[in-house]
Amino acid sequence: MISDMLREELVRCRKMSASIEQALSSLSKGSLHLRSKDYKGKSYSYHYLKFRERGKNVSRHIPSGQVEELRKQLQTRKNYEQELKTYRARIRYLEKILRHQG
Amino acid sequence: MMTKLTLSKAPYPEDVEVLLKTLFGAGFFQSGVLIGSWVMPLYRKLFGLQYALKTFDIDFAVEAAVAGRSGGIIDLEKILVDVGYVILTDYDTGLRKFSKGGFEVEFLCHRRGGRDIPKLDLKHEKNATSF
Repeated sequence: MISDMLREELVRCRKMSASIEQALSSLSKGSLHLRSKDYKGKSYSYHYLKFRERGKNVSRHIPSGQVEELRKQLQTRKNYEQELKTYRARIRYLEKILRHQG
Repeated sequence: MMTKLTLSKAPYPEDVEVLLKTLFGAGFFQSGVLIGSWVMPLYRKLFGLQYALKTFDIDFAVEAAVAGRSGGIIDLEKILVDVGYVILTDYDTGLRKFSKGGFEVEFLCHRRGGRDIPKLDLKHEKNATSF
């Protein structure tokens, strides 16, 4: 009975993990940075998003009106990634137990 | 009618306690109830019932919320996202779930007209009839 419950839990965790991966694929990734530049005696600053794409580092300028929304998206992504870690650790744990049970 | 219970010690882990308090603060329990294995810690405190098993999914029934159409609306999605839950879709069933710290939260209601009919709108009615 216990091993049936563990198997059910493993199936649930795998499904949740797949759902999280699906959600992550549509969320912005990278880190937001602020860059300052001096031009003709004045100082200007702007935000840019730094991320990796096909093995290359990419920096993309972010208009000031989109910074807050992007910040929220990146935080949401962090929450999803944290959740994925939790489920992956649980999957490993359950697989290990069930392997030992045969 | 709602009865207020005061317990000397919290029967739930912190994450679950925060969830219950958040939903209580939003008025959810006027139209929904906690169901499944997570009710048992309360029953153990109140009635001395012994039940050791706990699952990682926390279910709430919101049947009455659909029937009652008298009150305001609670945006469950926003409430849960604000306290750190992520929104997930089960692509097998089409069900919307929430997850935080490996705890899965579901809001269940009766499927009218068969299993394939979409269910509850998450912006559910607030002051609906109590269970």
